[in-house]
Formats: sequence, structure tokens, C-alpha cells
Amino acid sequence: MTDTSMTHDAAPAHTETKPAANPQKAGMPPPIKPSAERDPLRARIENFSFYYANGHQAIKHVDMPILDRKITAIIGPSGCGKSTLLRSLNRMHDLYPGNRYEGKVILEPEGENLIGPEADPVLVRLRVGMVFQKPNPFPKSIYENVAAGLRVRGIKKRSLIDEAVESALRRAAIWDEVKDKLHGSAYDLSGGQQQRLCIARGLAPNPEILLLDEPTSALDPIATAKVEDLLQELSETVTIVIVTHNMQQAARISHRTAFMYLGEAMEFGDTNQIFTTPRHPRTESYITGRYG
Amino acid sequence: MASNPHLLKSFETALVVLRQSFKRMGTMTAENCTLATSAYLASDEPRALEAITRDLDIDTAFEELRADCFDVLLKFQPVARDLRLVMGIEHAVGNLERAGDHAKTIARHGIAKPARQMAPAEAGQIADMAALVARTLELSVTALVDDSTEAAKQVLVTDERIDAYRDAVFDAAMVALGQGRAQAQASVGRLFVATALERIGDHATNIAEEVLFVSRGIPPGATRTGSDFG
Repeated sequence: MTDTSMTHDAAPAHTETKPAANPQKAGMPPPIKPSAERDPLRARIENFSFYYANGHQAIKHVDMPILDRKITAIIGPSGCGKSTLLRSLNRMHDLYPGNRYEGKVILEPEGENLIGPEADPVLVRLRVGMVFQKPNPFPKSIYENVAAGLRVRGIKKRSLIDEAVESALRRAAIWDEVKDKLHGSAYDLSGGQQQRLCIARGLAPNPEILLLDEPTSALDPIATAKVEDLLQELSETVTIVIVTHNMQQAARISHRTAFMYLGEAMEFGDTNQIFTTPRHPRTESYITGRYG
Repeated sequence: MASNPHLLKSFETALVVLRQSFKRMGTMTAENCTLATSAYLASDEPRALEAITRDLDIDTAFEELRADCFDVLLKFQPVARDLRLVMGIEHAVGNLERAGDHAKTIARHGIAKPARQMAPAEAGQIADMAALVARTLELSVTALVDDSTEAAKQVLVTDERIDAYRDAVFDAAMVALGQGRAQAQASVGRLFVATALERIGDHATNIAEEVLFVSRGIPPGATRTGSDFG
């Protein structure tokens, strides 16, 4: 992924695998032509690094295309930087002083650098929504949870908010379950419903990208299945980036998968390729359970 | 790195057991091929019946190994090389089971009363072919178990020699067809046996092709020549 031959111009071609010094010598197969060449991009992560305030470099020169209206999964062992990378994409690290970004996260098609000094972090978060590991609804009504982001966006007209709340709840596949109790507490919902409510809250401002950090790790299999189905439906209209420790989940729902290790994106490619014929030995070692 | 053991010991054990069971089934099938051919060459009915009975063991091993493959898929949801190995073995056991059926066919020819005594050269030809086929089948199984593309390549090369044996028997049968009923009947019987042996060789080739799939993720259909193994 740090291949200097990678290009990210208007119609980029993606060299997907972090190359070995000598791929032939390493016994690695020739590269497979990636589908990314024909898929439009929603974002480009270019030579991106992140440093915590204490100077620790958590992300090291990551290059990664984010395909439009596809699900990109980020996998890797604990501490590899996958959540740090995800949170960088909507400037969550700005909430703590001293953290530092390097490189670019370009949102397409405008070409805006989301981590540039000119980008307003609040506006970035409206364009790049986030759903966290544990459902974290606000201590408010179901309606107000979803309306919150709209109000931040400056929408005040009640009818517009009503319409957007219903639309977001429908897109999050929870409308039928909550339509008769919109003004009831969000805390009265089950864990799975709360997570879908959080997804609805993230969708309400109509973001270009939705980030999800292990969104089903706290849910039971039934709620997990609903969220997975939901994400696949949503991927027809919104670009999704998901961090997950569940490799079967990544294999099931994502179109592209990135494997991260020690802050580097070691391999990125079609999900089927990553899980059947990974090209980097460390990817193979991790996904087959030999990492250690 | 991929050769490191799995962190989950039960998964590591399951794959080891799968390999061992597959190896046993391969040995069983190759031995039955040898037994059936010797029964045919000696017109030894009890030995032929033994070979036919042993085919039931091969069928049982086939069912058990398929169940083991499903068990590994269900319990451990393997990916990458591990997934390819399980799928490769699942396909390969089908080839062994079919190879076992061909050995049974050969054994049945051992029960049939020969039309005439086989000439030593003719018997030697079939015996040599059977020995080569049995060795090749075992080699293909070893190649898959040991993930050896070199051994797989040897299997592909040997298959051409097996085909040559079968072609020679075919040519002899064509000549024999004009030499009277007894000659023709014996030659056609020998052709059936050679064809069954040649088919066992084909199954060994199929298994060898699975080796490349397991090793590199290249589908067997793309490996019809040995060049990809180089």
C-alpha cells in the first residue's frame, strides 16, 4: 500500500498489494487486475499518517481508495490502527489537542481534503457519519436522536425535519418498529434497535460516507444479521467503511477489504481475493489464524 | 508465515486429521488398484472378490472424509489456503472414490473366465501399467497432503506414459480383432482393463491439478498443461 508506483489521479489505477521487495522471489503470484479500475471513487487516502499527541505514529503512510457506494472493510489485529484510521476520516481526533494528521483524505468528486486546515471538522462530520461499537443513543427521544444531526446542519423547518427523520429511519430499516413511539425514549429500544437508530442518526444529514467501528460486536446474531442486511442495502446509496474483527462478517458484506498491520495498510483488494488468495504473507497469516 | 501452526489448536488438529485421513484413503485406493489388477492377471476369483469388497471401504472413507470436510467448514470457517485445502480434499476424495470404482471394474474382469491364456508380454504390459498407475495415484495424494507442486508436476508428466500404455493395448486389440474370436475377446477384455487403469491415472491427474489450486489459488481448469507448475 505504500507502493510509490500507486497513482491517485482523476482516474486512478490501484496497485493493491503492498509489494514485497521482490515479489517473484517471495513466491507471490502476479497481481490480479482489480475491479477498482472500473469503479468510481468516493474518497482517496493518500500517504496518510497520524500521530497522537504523545508523538506515537499510529498510522504510517497509508494509501487507500474508497470506492463509491461500496462497502470497504478494514481488518487487522488489535492495535494495528484500523479504528484510528476510521476516526481520522471524520476528524474525530481533532477533539483531543496535539493529535496530528499528515497526507490527504480527498473527498471526491469535489477533491476536497477532509483533513486540510481549510476543512471545518463539524461540516466534515456531517458529510462523513460515524457509528460506534456500542449503541450510543442520546438520552432523548427516538425522534430527537435522528433530528439532532439535521439541526446541526441548520435545518429548522419542522416539516423538513419530520420528513428527513422518517426517511432516515426507513433507510435504517427501523421505521416500522418505532413509528408509533417516535417520542419515546431511545433507551427503551433493544440493543439492536438502538444501533439501527444510531445508523439512522448517522444517515439523517445525508452523508457521502458512513463509517462504522465494529457496529455489531455488542449485538446478538439476530440483531447482527439485521444490521448486516441493512448495510448491504445502504451500500446502494451511500459509501460505507467498516472496521470489524469478525472476518466472516467482512467476507459476507464488504466489496473491498484492507488488511492493516502495525499502522500500515499491508494489502487492499477485492474481498473475495483477500479471503481466498491473499497475496501478502502477513495477510494470509492473520486471516487464517496463524498470526502470533 | 503461513506455515506457522494455527493459534486455534483444534483447527490445526482438524486439518492434520483431514490430511491423514485423505492419505489413508489414497493408500487404500492405490492398493486396491494393485490387488484388482493382480486378481485380473491371475484370474483369481477370491482375490477379485476381495478387491470388490474393499471398494466398499473406499466408499465409506469417501463419505467420512466428505463429512469431515463439512465439519471443518462448519466449525472453523476456513479462509485462504486453509479453505482451498479443504475444498481441494473434498474434490480429491471424489476422484479417489471414482478411481476405486474403476479398480472394482478391473476386479470384475478377474472373475470372468478368460478366453485364452494371456501371453507373458501382454500380462507384463498390464502389470507394469497398473504399478505405474498405483504409484502415480499415491504420488498425487502425497502432493496434496504435502502441498508439493513438484510432486504434482511429476504426476502430470507420468499421465502421458499411462496414456501411452493404454494406446498400445488399444493398437494390439485392433490387430487382434482380425485374429479370431478368442484373440479378439481376450484383447477387448485387456483393453477394458487398460482403459480403467488409464481412467485411474486421469483421477490422479485431477488430484494433482487440485494441488496448484490449493497452493496458489489458481483454478484447476487453468492448469491443463504442466507448465504452470514450473
